[in-house]
Amino acid sequence: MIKFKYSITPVESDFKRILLLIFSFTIITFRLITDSLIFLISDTNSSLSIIWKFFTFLALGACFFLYIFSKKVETNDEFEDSSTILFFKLIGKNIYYLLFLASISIILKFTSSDGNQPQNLFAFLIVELGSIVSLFFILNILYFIYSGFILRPHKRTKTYLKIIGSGFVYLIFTNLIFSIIKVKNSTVNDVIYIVILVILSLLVFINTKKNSWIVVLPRGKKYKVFWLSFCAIILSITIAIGSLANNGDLGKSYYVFLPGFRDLIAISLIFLSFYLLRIFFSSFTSLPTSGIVERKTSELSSLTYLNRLISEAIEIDRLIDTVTKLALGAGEANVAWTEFYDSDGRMLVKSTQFINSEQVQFIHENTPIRKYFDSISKSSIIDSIPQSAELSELSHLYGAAKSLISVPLFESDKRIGTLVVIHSDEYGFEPSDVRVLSAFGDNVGIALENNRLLNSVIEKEHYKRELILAQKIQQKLLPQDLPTLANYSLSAMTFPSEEVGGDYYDAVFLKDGRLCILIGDVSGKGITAAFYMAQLKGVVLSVANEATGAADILKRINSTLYGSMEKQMYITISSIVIDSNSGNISIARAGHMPTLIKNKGKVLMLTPNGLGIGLVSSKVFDRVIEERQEQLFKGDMCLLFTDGVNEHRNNLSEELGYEPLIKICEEPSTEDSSTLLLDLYKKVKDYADGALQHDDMTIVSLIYKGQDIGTVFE
Amino acid sequence: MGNDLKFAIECRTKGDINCIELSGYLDAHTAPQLEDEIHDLVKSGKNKIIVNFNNLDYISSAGLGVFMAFIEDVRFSGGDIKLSSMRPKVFSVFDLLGFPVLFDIVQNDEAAIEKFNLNPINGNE
Repeated sequence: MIKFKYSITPVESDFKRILLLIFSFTIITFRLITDSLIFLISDTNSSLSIIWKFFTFLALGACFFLYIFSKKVETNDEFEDSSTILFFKLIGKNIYYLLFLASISIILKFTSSDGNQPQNLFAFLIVELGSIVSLFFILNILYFIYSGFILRPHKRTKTYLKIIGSGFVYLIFTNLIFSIIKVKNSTVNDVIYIVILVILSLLVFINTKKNSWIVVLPRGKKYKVFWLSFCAIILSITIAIGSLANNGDLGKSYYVFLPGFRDLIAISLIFLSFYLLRIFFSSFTSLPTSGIVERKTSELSSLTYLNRLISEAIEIDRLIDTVTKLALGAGEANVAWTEFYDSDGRMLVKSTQFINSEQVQFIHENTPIRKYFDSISKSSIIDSIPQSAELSELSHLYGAAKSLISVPLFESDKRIGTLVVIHSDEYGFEPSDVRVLSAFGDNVGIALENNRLLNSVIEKEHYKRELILAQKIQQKLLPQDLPTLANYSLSAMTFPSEEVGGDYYDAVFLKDGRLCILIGDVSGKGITAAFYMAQLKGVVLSVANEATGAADILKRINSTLYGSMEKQMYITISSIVIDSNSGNISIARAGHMPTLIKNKGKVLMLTPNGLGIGLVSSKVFDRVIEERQEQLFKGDMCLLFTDGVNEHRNNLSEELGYEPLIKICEEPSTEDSSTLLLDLYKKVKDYADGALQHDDMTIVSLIYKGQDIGTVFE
Repeated sequence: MGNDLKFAIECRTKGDINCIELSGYLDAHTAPQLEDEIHDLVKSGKNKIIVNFNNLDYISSAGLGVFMAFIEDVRFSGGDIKLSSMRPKVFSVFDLLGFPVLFDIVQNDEAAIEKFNLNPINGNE
């Protein structure tokens, strides 16, 4: 006996199955030939021939078994239960098998003679062939029962299957052995036989207890299950009784094939009957509730479907269409529509079912339906429109409207519309419909909210990308190299923060050929700041070769930009104009940070008067701005910076302040301006101790070295 | 860090004068709040505004910009925005930018109210 595996036998390769078929046919041919010989020359019921029959039967049975049990029924489906699929795929086939078995039975009935031996060789061969075909069919039927059990296993499925299998084999073999050793059937044996059979059948019946798949079937399918199992039961019981009947012709014919074979057929069919009996009962008892079940199932699957749609769909219109359609179905209603209200309260019909927008519009114009919708804050039902206080006009206008459910739609607490479902019967809705439809309404709200959130995320992502772009542009706007300058070492560096700031520095030549260093900071952050910075760069380039000094270039910048900037935007700039032949510099400031100057070893914070660029017209700006002349000596220096430097915070949220900047000017470690910058940057970072940099930091350092050549650092 | 990084606005009305009290950090992220607040005042015709900086810990360039956005309209309609009770650090930020030239920056609210009453129509430029 091949051991039952606790799962559907895995798919064998087609090759193996073909091989099994070839084997089977070989065995069949072999058996038919030898049997014919035995029939002609000897007794087919001798113990020896029975043993021969038994082994050929076993070999053939094994081939058939492997062939049948190795096929896999595809039961994977998203929506249908696997048991349902299996049942419907196999029950039809089983009915055919049973019909074939019945017809074979009829044939075999007439082939047998009085004794245990068919009349002639032809009849004998018919018996043999018929039995072989029966064996094939019966194994298919057993496979059907077995798969049914395996697909819906419970705690004791395995144990029961083992007991049923062993009992089954026992019953067949006892009969077989009895006939080999020529024991007459005794009453005791019959009683034992029947008791065991009853127990096994009951076990089959009990093992079929997981039948919940039938309960959830729609009514139509339930009827199908009901009738199919009914037919199959009648057929199999008839055949089983026919083959088991004492001295029955069918039983005798099977006996010729192999003693005990009729028991195999009969017991299998009895098992099938009991298996189907349970299913039959389940379908029968669940028939009355199938309406409710159907409704619940459809509600549930609608909701599931809707939820999935929400998680996927960005197309709100499609979603609303689906919701309207589903609402119509779930309420078994006749008409449904979804209307929305814009910010002015105007009604807009978004989706309709069995009504059109004009008709909805007409209803709105001629009944106080909108007033009613506005008055409800949760899903409401009107069981009888003609008798309702609010909407009796609707039934005059539209006779088929007898009951109505309205579901207010909200998007984050804001009323945005109504889902309306109308039934042509008074009291046509079930109370549960209100609940389900309001769930639909909630889903619409969630979808709209999701959609809004999604859009805002997309927007944010978009903004983020724009910022990165802005950062790149900004970096490109800063000078790639600074001009080299005799007697000076000039360096500048920008350390951008994550948010794009508006830091700016540049070195341009004025009308008289002197170099002008500019450092600036556009107010605010982000794309606007970057935009103004770009604009500033353009303005600087265009005014530089007309400008005559540190204050003059700032005046020109202000006069160009004032009026074209947004009111809350401004730019602070400091400018230093250098006379490369001497240590003479002139400094001007437009609202910018102080300039640090080391003059003869003493560090000063210079803040010549000056308003930010873009704040006031030239009239005021030009009046306020000052220009200061300073004389540098060898080793003296200038440090320009943006507020990102002195306002850099540490983990205690304390600002760096000016002190460290002054200190680094007082005791410079180097004469090289770029090294000085790096030292300063390191100092700031040490101070920050890991605290985030929130603003761009820009530093320009200028060291007067007398005759040395300056370096460029970017 | 934490709570002190937050920004808060408190509004009080004294007759036709509106006092906005700021606390915390006024930067690019919190500036829109103040902008909305002043915008609402100006829109409803309240153009005598005192901004009290006593509890303000920090102001960034974007914060300064807010005042620039409204001063012109407020003065044009005959009102003013007076800035009062600044801590030295906050004042220095205003000072660097040249705000003392543009705005009436006073010691305290009382001084501001007095100025409003003395010279109902004020342009301080």
